[in-house]
Amino acid sequence: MSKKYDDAPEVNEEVMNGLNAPENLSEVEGFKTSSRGLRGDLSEQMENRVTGNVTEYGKQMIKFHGSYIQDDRDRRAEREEKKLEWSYSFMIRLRIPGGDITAKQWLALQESCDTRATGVVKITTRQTVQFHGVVKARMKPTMQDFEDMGLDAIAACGDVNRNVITGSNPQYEAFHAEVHEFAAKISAHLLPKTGAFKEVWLDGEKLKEGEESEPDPLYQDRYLPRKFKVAITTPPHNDVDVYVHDIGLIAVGEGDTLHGFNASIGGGLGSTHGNAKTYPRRGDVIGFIPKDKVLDFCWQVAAVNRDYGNREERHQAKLKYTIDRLGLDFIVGELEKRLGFEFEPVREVPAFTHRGDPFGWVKDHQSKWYYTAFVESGRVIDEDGYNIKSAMKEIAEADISGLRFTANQNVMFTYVEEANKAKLEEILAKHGITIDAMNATRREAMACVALPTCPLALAEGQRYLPEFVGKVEALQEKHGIIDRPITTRITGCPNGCGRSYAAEIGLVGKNPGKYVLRLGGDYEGERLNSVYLEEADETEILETLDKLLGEYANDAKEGESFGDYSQRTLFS
Amino acid sequence: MITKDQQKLLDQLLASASHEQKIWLAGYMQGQVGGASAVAAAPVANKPPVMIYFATETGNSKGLSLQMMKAIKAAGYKVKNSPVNRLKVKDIKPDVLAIFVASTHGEGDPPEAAVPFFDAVREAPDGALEGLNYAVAGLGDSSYEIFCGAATDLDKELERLGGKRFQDNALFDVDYASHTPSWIEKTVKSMDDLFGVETAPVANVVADAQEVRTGRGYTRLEPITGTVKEIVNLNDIDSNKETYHIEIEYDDESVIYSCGDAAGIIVPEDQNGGDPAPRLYSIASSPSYHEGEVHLTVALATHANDDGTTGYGIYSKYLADLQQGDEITFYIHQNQMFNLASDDKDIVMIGPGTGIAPFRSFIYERSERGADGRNWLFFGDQHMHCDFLYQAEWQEHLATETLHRIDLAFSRDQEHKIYVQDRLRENAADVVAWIDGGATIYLCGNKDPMSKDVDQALIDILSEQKNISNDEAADMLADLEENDRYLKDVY
Repeated sequence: MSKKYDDAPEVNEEVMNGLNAPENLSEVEGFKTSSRGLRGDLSEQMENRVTGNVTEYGKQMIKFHGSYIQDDRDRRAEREEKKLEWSYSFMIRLRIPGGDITAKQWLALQESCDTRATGVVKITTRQTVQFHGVVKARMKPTMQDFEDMGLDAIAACGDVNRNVITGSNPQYEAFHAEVHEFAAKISAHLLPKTGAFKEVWLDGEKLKEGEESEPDPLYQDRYLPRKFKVAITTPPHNDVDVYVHDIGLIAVGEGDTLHGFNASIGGGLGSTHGNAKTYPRRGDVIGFIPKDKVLDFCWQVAAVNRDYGNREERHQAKLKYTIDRLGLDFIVGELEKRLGFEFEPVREVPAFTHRGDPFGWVKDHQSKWYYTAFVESGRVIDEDGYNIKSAMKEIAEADISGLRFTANQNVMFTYVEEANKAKLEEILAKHGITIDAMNATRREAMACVALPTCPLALAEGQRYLPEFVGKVEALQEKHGIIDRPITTRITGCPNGCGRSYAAEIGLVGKNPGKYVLRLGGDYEGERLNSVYLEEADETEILETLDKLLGEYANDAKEGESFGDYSQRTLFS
Repeated sequence: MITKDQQKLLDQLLASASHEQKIWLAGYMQGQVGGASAVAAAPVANKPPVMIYFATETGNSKGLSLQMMKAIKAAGYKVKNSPVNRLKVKDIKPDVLAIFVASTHGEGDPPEAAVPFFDAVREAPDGALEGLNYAVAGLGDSSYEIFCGAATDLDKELERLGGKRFQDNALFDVDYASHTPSWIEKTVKSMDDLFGVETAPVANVVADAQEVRTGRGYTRLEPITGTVKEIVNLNDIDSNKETYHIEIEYDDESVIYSCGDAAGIIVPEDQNGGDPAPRLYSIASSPSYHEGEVHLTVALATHANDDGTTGYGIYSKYLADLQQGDEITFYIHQNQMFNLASDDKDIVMIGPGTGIAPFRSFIYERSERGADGRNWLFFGDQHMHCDFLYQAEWQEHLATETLHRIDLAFSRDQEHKIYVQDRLRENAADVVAWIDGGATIYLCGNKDPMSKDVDQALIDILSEQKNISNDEAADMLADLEENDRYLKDVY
């Protein structure tokens, strides 16, 4: 740590027990501290035309700039035959706190994606969008497009605070609007201070030789030990899966007044196959935070993990492991000490009732209308007469709404005036966008990207989801329970981007065609699921589900969800 | 030695004598004092200096001129050779014996570098070369419509300018190497006859000078058959191009090639659209690294037909459609103007598009030989992601330090187009440092506009870096070219 952070809080070295000795730090830690504020040698690497890839150092650096290098794994053999290196390209993820953009921004985004990427904008579970297939030469122009439309990709990946997500549904509480604004406020408060982004992508002024990067009291020169995620929701809706993030904020208010948030810390879904030290963890709700203290609170939670998180093993670096290593009491005590106040007891809030999106129209408390349209796996494409890409374009061109990406990877047309509802419906109908034809299981299903682009994927994700859901639906039909939604999620690897650990039927990729089958999560998102089959192929999974769904159809209690039934009969 | 009277008579005689009469007199005097045989091996006064001018594209004309020099020198003549590239009509002295060797390309055209000279000859006034004794030898390919057009045109023009041919035109086909030795003998004989002298037979000398490989496998008349071992389109989806890498296996150990040579491809009659002429493709493989194989890098030539459909070049389409296991008929076309420099020399290779082919050969060859010289490659195409020909191989050569430097120009990867000549300019100081250090520069690819743009870039770079005028820089580049330090294989 450099000298300019002398005023940083004192770290209790005793509890660290020798952890994070300089000689034991992971390689990535060295990358970060030597990067001069996340610059590294990215500018040079982007100019290198011998390869479309970047070095290991570059890979770590570019994450902080919202990007991963990927290659089309389906095409490796063919590229090798052509005497070309693998088909490398970049994924770029934007930072869109709360998922809100204007119609104009959407048009510019889609055009940029058509010109410079695959043309398929992907809505993610973090309420943002990402481009795939951006080759190296197009990285700078794409980043410059974002700048031109008033957006950026800063800290959308990497060991920093990621895109802040917040419940998208405005219908329940009048204070929802104020809650929603906190996504942008927290994002701004925890944004890295470095000028690297401007320098690397926007031809900003270059740091001079020997000059130090902009001081950053939160991230210092070492950033966080691992990614850090904040989610906010307004009960009874839990579309963000509030307990599975480093910080989960549950809004507390009355009428149109927001009071503050019940705060959960230490949630997280990532794990590693075969490593028992890794596990998904539900967050602990530690108290109520008044709204004027919540920015400080988020900042200090990140700072505590900055100081106490494991920087030797990245698999042990997240806040959830720090809490389990040092104890929740220690962490809470450290937070209260740093914040200068004690947490108030948790306040009573309405129970969560569901996580799925409110498809179709809902109205907020200022008489504005919101229409949520289903986007399968978040992929904005025209397919089989369901032309969501065309519909979004035409609605944006009509300039009668804003757009909001939901944590379920759908799109919501926001702030629609009563007078414009018919127009919006007309455009949707014209492009085949309907809700009715689809049953709830499909509408609420979710998957991560996985193959062929994600370098971490062990099995298929979004490409397989429609087929798998169809087969689950067939079983539901067979047992006469098609009208009961079952939260079904697939994630291509144990990192869990598809949030399969918080599903009633959760598949976690293990090998090509093989998944861990997890059951017993609840419909509302209060409880994580458990492993039922360690490594199963589709046939085995479907046979298992056939049997269980049959039993569920016959034996379930009144109103009991499949998740609750599985938990009761299989794991209790 | 002679009296004043004798001097006076001689002066009168010489003043009234034509050039030819003077030569005749010189020969006559020589005869009077004891004949030529006594001095056959050394240049003598009555044998005029001989100039061999060659116009060459692939080096064959130059090779022939070198053979002739050897034989003519042995016959006791003073002889020099020179490319016609920078030759001006007024520089041709009528009192020399001039032998022109010219190859023909395309539709009866002279080699690219010789065009200015051919133009100058065409524009010179009648009688400008009055009294010149000359002979013309042409190299060509009788499968083209106009056979040896450049040589026959030149002959006609020289006659118009007042020259006198001392021997009939000799027009050679692709199998020239087996006919030239006897022609060289005949030429020396004609020269001797012209000057009334005799020379000992020079056949042995000519045979010794034989460097051109000939016979089976080396001309279109005696091609060999190979098998397609592999064929792959190097361009990836999204590319506007199709460039085929074709590996041909053949098992005739007597047929060998050198880096820089081309393969003459013969398209079967039923597919050649009535055009039996072979087409040359620079060989992309290394004779030692890829033993027993010839690799080609072939761009599929396309054009829009009148009816809006896409038409294809006959040769490239034939090659692109080959399948693994197909037979293919070809021969080795030697290119002595594109030889790989000796192992200790640095080389700079400029090869955008399919111009990359010979450099793939060079690098594998140098890798196999463990050559010490450094290798610098300039490559360009449209898009890096889908058009970077042999990308994975270059990456390996860089990793193993067989390739020391690479500069890439992908024209359509950014708004403003970037080409190899732009990369040359960006690296001006280093390019000149390499040249000054003795590097040989190779250029392969499209003649127009690429090779001209590269020429201009090199002239600009030399002018700027050496602080000399453009003309001086152009001369410097021409010198490099004449000294085989700047070699081109452009098409």
